[in-house]
Amino acid sequence: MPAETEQSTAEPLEVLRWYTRARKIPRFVGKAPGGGRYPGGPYTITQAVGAAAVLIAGQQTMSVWGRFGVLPNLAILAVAVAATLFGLKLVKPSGRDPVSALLALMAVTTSNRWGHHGERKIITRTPHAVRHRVNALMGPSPTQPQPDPLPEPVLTPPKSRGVLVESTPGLGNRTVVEQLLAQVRDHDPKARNR
Amino acid sequence: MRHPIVDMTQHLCWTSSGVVWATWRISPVPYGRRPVKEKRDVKRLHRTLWRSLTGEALALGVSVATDPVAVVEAQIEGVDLDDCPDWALEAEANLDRLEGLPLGERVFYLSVPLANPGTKRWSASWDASMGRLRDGLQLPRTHRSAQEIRFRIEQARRLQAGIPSAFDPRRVTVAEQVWLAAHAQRRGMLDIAPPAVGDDVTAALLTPKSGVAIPEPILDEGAKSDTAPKARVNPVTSRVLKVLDPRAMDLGQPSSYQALLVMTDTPAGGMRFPGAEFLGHLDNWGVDVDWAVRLRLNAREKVQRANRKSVRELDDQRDQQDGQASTGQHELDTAGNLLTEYQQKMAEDRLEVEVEHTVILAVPGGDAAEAQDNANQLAKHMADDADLRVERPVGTQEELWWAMQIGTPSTRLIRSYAQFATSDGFAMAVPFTTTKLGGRRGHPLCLNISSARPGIVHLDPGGYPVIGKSGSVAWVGELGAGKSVGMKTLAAGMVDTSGQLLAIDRSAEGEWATFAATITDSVIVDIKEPKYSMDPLRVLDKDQGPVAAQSFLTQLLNTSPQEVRGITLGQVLTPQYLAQHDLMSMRQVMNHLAVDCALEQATELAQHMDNYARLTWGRLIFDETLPPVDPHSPAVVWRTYGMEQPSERDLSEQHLYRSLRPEKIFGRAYYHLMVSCARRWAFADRSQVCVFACDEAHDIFSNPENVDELVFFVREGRRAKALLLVGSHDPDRDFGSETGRSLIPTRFVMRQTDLRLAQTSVRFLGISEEDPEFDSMVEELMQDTSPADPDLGVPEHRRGEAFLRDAFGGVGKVKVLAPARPDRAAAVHSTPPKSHSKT
Repeated sequence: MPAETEQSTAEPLEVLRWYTRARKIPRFVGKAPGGGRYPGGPYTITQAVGAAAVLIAGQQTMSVWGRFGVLPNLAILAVAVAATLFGLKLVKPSGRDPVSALLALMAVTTSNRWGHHGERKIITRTPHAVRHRVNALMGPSPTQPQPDPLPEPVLTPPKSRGVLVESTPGLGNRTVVEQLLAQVRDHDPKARNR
Repeated sequence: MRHPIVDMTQHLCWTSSGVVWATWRISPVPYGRRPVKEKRDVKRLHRTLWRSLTGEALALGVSVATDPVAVVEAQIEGVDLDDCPDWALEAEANLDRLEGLPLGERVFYLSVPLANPGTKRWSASWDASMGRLRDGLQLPRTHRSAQEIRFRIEQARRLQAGIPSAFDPRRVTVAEQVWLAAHAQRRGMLDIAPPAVGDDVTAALLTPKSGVAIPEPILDEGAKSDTAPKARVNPVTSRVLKVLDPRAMDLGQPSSYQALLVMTDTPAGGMRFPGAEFLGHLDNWGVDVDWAVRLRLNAREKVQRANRKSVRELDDQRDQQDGQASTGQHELDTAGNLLTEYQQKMAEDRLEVEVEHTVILAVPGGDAAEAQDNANQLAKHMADDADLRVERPVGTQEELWWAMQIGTPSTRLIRSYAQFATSDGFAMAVPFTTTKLGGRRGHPLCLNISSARPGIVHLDPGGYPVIGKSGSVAWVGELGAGKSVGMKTLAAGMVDTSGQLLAIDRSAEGEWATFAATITDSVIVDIKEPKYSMDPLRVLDKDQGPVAAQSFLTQLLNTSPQEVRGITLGQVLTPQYLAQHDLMSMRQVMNHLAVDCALEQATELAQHMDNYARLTWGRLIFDETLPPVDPHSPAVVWRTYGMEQPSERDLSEQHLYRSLRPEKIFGRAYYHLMVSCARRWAFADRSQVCVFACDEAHDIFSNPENVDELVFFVREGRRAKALLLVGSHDPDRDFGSETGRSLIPTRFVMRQTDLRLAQTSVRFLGISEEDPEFDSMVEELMQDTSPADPDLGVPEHRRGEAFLRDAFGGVGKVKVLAPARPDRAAAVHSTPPKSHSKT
């Protein structure tokens, strides 16, 4: 056997052990403060809190829903408490806090459809038109120094439309595009009236 | 929610909660299939790391794809491609091949929130509040003061000093912090690699130039935006997070879908070490996953207080559950036993601390359904293979996603899923480890298949002498396992990078000769059709030639330096005598001994030599008309098929030795001459890498004098860049002396279906029989390493599998890649052609 393979492995067995169960002991309520035992117990804290909430709420609102006489009303309340105890038994005592779980479920159910971006919800609106009023300064700015006048452009009239371009006073400093726009305005009565 | 990071410099980031985080990139420690003793050392390193921390920390294991370009850059690094055009072609072909391979690796980070001591406890929170207010009022942000930065850097420096140097903690850059934040938004999508040291291009791309360096994603829990407008999303069945980066969307990139899982339960009996590396196992299940561990290190005194409280609770619960059926009592008993053990461990070790940890996993997918399927698959693997339970609690996807980010404070949800272990226990998870093999550059010879996500193994045997390592490589495996292909591929890489190849080829097909024929100016010395002379007086210089000739003739003529014939040979074969009589070749020496030499028994010596000179093979030595082998040729291959050597029994028993056939005697002397010449040529030029390949090495090592030459190769080759490349079946018996065998640092072990050979081979990798891995490796070597189908042989995708022990002690499973160039690939494959069937 090669020398380098000889090694001591006689070390104790090592186990990665989690002590979570020792820390998160499932808590139950089985005995009353006076020492008496709760019937059907012990109950988880969730069961106890839930049943107590149903009992108190039911008893406080009995005037609203209690229309069946004293004994039937008490029987209904007892059934509701029993149902709560039974239903909440399904919630694992070592699992997630049921209140926060419920809140998380509600949050994800009611959350915005398109998610959120940073701290803002993304809300998409229905299709709608965009209106605007824009002032565009086309000529040289009055606050800017006047540039040297451009050489007079030589325009070839678009033959297809039969538009005759004439030299018009006031067009001297205009650009080619501005001159074309001016010609269209001159030949369009609607535009001229605006 | 806004991204918590508001300010960054160097490896620090300030958050909106007033906490400053420092982040380091952690170099993983080699682990893989190393012996258990070394694994224990790695575990101790992790324990030291956990104990060096206080308060909270965030450990990250980020899965990144390997860029084929980076692999090819490492392949050609340090190589002048103008001088090595064949290597340029190979690199180009390799790039094409790598494009189709899903390569990846895991990078690790450790991020620690720095404490706010003294007045900073208030001032940091105040500054953070003011920052939020300024942001709300759209006021410009202010920079951190130089004093604050200096203070935080000093705090981080003290923390870094406690991290074991084996982890080589490297301060991340701002670019790397941006990359981490962006990566969280791009899981499962095409992504660039994290900026490496010296990677100026990536760093320049990621370095912020404005206040919105980190992409602001749109988060959509449940991927509701993918559904029809009026459709109701079931939050239970759609537990996934859709992350959409608007900037990436502008570039035509899709959204990232991520399923976030949290570890909720662990095996009641724990996990045995080695084997408890559950974070490392994540790479074995074929699911792309990032992991984050939110840590809180609790001092021993605090733990003992908490344990005492638990004892009181336990007593109370025993009372409360007194009348309950046995199940509840069993749980309490288990909790009680664990508490006792925990208290005991805390009491025994005064340095022990508690590691409160929440493990979060992020599994990406192409869409919501795929992400969830992947998450379910991972959860099933973890439950079945490791008895670990992971869940995707409803309504927590976004919170878990944020919890994986640097700078996010721990929340109640995260703490509610915390697991508790000692630092010694959690160290057994050894999260910062790697199965990486080989070095950073060199020949990309194999795929590392130690985990389900393969990586490239770069081997640079020719470069190892420069860093003080021997470059010799041994290949072990049964017939047809793929040794020769691997050896030739490795040799091809060396020849293509200006190295020299010397090889002995005893195969019937002349596989090495076929391979060498593809190399320009190669020389093939064939014993059956000699075209080159191996006359030692002609192929070696005037000083070394006579020594090699005397050694050759001593074996050929079975003389001894103490005998008269040996003395005569010794007198003739000296540089002075040869020069004086103008003897330039063995033929001339033979003729001189026959006619002109007056020394005792010269004539008998000449007659004896003449007997061998008349053999066909004798021409190799005694035919002056053949040109001598050029020792500077890039490849010299000696074909020896049909040439026999005496067995060990032949040599050890007198009567057998005396009746040896002349062919066997000539074979023995010729093998010795080849090895002798190879050694002299390889050590002649110390600047050039020279590899001496001995496939079927048992044939060469059967001669004790060859063993000495080869051991010299291994012992002294480091300085002269002379490498030995040996292949055979039985590492214990076929590689000569144990010294020489032990000094070969790089070892490939391929398929062995025989139990004894498999066990021997695993030991050759450095794994002892007492190691827990030993039996499983033997079984894997016999049954799951290039397994052969009875009818079809080894399937193409399983060829070349091997265990590799690299020159640095790393052990893992690899798959050898044949040359990427089709012509070279064809040349290295030695499988005999199929017989022609009649039609």
